[in-house]
Order: sequence, then structure tokens, then C-alpha cells
Amino acid sequence: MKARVLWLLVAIALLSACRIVPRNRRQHLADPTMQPDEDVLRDRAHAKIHTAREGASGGDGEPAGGGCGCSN
Amino acid sequence: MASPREVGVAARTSLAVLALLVGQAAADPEPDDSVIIGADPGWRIEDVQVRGSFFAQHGQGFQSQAGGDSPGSELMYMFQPSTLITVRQNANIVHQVMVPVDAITAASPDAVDAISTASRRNIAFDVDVRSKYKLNEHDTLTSRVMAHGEEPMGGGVIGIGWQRGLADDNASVSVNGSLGIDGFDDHDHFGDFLGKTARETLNANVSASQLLSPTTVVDGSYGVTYQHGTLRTGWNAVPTTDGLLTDEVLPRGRVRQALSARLAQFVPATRTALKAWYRLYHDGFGIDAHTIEASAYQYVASWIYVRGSYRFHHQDGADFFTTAIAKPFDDMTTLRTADSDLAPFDAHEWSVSATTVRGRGPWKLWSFSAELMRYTRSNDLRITVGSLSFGRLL
Repeated sequence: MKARVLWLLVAIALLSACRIVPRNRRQHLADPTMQPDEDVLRDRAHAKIHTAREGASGGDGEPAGGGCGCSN
Repeated sequence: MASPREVGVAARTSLAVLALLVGQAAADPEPDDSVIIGADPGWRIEDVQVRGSFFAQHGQGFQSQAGGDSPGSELMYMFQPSTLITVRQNANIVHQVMVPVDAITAASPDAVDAISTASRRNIAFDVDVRSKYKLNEHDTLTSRVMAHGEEPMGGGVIGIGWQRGLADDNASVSVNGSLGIDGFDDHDHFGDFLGKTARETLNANVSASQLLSPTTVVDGSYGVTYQHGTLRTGWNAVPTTDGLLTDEVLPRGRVRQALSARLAQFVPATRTALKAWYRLYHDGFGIDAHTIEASAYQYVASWIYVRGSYRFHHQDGADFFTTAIAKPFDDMTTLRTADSDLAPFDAHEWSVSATTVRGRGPWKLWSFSAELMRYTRSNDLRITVGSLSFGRLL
């Protein structure tokens, strides 16, 4: 498992050397629907359910929950 | 051909013009950014978004004592107004201030909640400030300061991160970390107050993104969280085989790991965006989980799109999850929980929404969005969420 994660990170690092898309061809990537955080408040409302009602939340940069469903 | 007199006049005129230009250049220094793009206006609010969500939760779980020795009600209604304000300090520093408020009514409305009222009626709020400091063309520092408050609990998070763009921003890598501390009242399952207690949370993440084509981007991240302290929910109860209830007992430490990857594809011909996301999770309680999410965005006009999303989550239960613990057991050392959130279950989530895009269409500076969401769990939990939001560029 650890070896696979390591290889994945190495692959991602190698990919970063690729200059594939020039700036003048990124108009579709700049579309609002393509942004990873195109609706922060919606994502927060969804995460509210996941962190409060799923024991397998957290580990990914957000507070971990999985308890009483009242914000912890 | 010019006469000698004409040549002399031309030479003197040229020298005069040259001297004038040199003198002008010496008098006017190189124009700075403020001359070219205008003076920095300083602190200003760029964008305000407001969202109101209503949550209706139905279901039953053993952690609620409303059912005696059977799963108790988890009926809960919650109204969540939230605000996101984007503040630009200068050309290189931007702050996002998010203030969500949770007004909760009637969660687990029986038994010990009548004593603590912690999840019966409650107001919870966050003040979450995330900042970006652009150091140069490639590097950005990020920071986070968050405070949380509710009736039996208060806490905060501080975090810092660094992001670097690579290969003309075809790729990026970032690392960030945070420290969180929560302090809250401790209770046993009778609702008796046991004193103040706390837990600490350390989190670290590394992530990367890569443009694969003019319409495709992929990103991935790995995060690890270590929690220490009182992890149990004080008033949670665990049924025993003889029909009684006992306290929940959890370890005082927990390591949580998550690995995730996302692919986003834009289809210009149909003005469609497709996104797929996968997350693998493992923690020290013995919970393994897989989560997938697929979303589709479709423009119905240049200024409005609809979004449909489906999410599936599967998790194994904690190693010590039980709905009937057999005696004899050592009250303080035998790990046990009947919390339905730590049980094995599958969860399905559907959502549909419609959103207008700012800068386009009839409301140039405004955006509006409406969403309906349904979340169901295989161990008897159903949540329906309706949301309306609007925003304005300033």
C-alpha cells in the first residue's frame, strides 16, 4: 500500500514537468463549472453531513466528526 | 542637395530634439504599476455570497436513548444560514471569511438530552478565515484561522500551507497543515456532568494537480489526521445484553488517512462539464471506506447551468462497534460504541441544482442558485436538504 502511494506521488511529480496546455488555450479550464471550488458554501453544507454522520470523514484537511450530529 | 546652411540648421535641430528627449527621459522615471493600472485601492470587499439551507433528518440509532434498548429517534431539523465574504487586501493578498450558523432543533430529543440539551436545541457557529498571500509568480502561501462555538463546546483551528505552480501553471503542488483544539463538557450516559475535557487534532495534507489537455484536469491528495484526547460523545449509550445501557468507551488516539483523486473534463460541443472523484480512507478504529462521486454540469443558456450529482459511500464499522455488549466487561477499558455513525453502512446521496453565472446574462453582478439534496443511509438515516443562495460582486 505504501509503495503504491509512493509511486503515485512520483508519477504526479513527473507529470508536473509536462508543459501541455499554453495559457491561451485554457478558456474551457477557466469555466466556472470546471473549478474545484466553484461553490464553497454548497460544499460546506454537504461536508456538514459527511463530517457529522460518517465515521470515515476527516484525514483530508477538514475537521473530523462522526459523533452526535451536532457539529463535532 | 541641401546647402551648407540648411545642413547646419538640420544638425542643430536634431541635437536640440535629442537633448529634449534625453532630458525628458531623465526627468520622468520608469512608470510603475500604479501609473499603468492605477493606484492600489487597498482593502475592499470583492464578493459576498449568502446561502440558506434547511436540513430535515429522520432515522434511528442506538446512540440516541429515545428508544430505550432499541434504536432511538434521530429526528432533527436544522436551519443553516451561511455567508462567504471575499476581501482583497491588495494585489497579492486575498481573504475569504466564511460564517456558517447552525440552528439545530430536536436532535435525539429524549433522555439525557433533556439534561445537557446539547443536541436538543442548539446554536453553533464558525468564523473561518482563509487567506492567500501571493509571494511571486509561482508561490502562494495560505493560512487558516477558524473558531467554533456551540453550547457545550468551543474550539479553533490554525493552519498554514504553501502552493507552487509548475511548468507555466500546467501543474501545481501544495502542502498544508493545521492544529485544532476543542474543549467541551464531558457527560456520562446518564447526563451527569463529569467536568471539562478536550481533544486535539493535527492534520497534514499534500496535493497536486495537472492539466492533461485544454479540457481536462486531474488532481490528487493525501491527508493524515491524528486526534488525541476525549473522542467519545459523552451522552452516547451502548446497550448491554441484559437490556441495560452503559457508557461509550473509545480510544484516546486515532489516526485517520485519506487518499483521493479527481478528474474533470469539459465537453465544448455540448457545454458540459463532467467530474469524477474517488476517496480511499483508513483509520485506527479499523474503519475502511470507499467513496465515489460523479457530477455533471450542463449549460442550458450561456448564463445558467444545471448540476446533477451522485455520491456513494461505503464504510466498514469500527472494530469495537456493537449493539449489545455482553457482561462481564471492564467499564473503563473495554472499547465499545453503538454510534450509528461508526457502524458499517452504505450511503447514497443525490443532488440537483441550478445556478446562474455572474458576469453573464440578465443579472451581471448577481448570481442565484437553488439545490435539492437527498442523503440516505442503509442503517436507517434519511436527510433531505433544500438550499437557496445568492451572491453579488462588489
